[in-house]
Amino acid sequence: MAGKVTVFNCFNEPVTNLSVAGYSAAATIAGWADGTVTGVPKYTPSSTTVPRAKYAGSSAVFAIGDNAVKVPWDSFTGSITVTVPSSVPGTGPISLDQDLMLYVGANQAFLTTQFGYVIGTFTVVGALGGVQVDTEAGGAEPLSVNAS
Amino acid sequence: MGQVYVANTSSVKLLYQVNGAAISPGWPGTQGGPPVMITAPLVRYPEGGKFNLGNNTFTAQFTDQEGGPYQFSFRFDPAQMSVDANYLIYVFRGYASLLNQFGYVLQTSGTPVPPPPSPPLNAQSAGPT
Repeated sequence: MAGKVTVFNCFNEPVTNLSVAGYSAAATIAGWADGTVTGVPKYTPSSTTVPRAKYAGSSAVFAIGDNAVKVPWDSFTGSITVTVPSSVPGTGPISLDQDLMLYVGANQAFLTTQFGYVIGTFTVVGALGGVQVDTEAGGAEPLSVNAS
Repeated sequence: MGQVYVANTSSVKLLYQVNGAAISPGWPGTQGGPPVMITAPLVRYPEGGKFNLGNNTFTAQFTDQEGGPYQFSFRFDPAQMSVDANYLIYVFRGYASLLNQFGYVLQTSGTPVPPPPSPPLNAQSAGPT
């Protein structure tokens, strides 16, 4: 049986009508935890699960190859192209049956395995009602990369 | 005083150090659920086991990992970041991201480690020839 992708909302705002490949994948995903629930630390991201499939079909699935993901937050809608690698032996390291995690921040997303390996990093392109916004700026604080 | 929430995104137990001192004896991985969080204080001046304004060295040792820990560097710029604000670090193998509390990635450090490659399609099992 094909695995699933757990999509984590790392933004503080809820997601309404997450879509994958043009199909609705979740009615809502709450924003991160506010710390009022016992045992759930503040900033813990909320999630939903989306099935994986070999090919795109007539429902929301993460297929092998590029997947268009729309993340409508309250402030803006994020658009991501999430690339899931092939599972052909010798070319791709990821079995179709393997569960994956997609962490979605306001300006970047990370696709990983449960063991912490990073499959891909993706830019989140934001739009306000069709007008693209610069999520790379990260609000008041600029994005920078420190190579270690 | 702010806090830095360090998120273990993997199912593997991690050992963290900040500026040369451990921030926990070891922290469990997630079991398919949300990342497991631990906090370290954000302070003004350098102090082991805490993040400070300026440059910081942060290491993460995956307990199933051969070799030394992954080493990351993050700069909390006092001109743009507040010692009273909270931040998050998401930890992956070889790669870590610093986010503000609203989910914006501010900095990344390291190089992502991809999963181990699968064997080639025509791979033959080792054995007597």
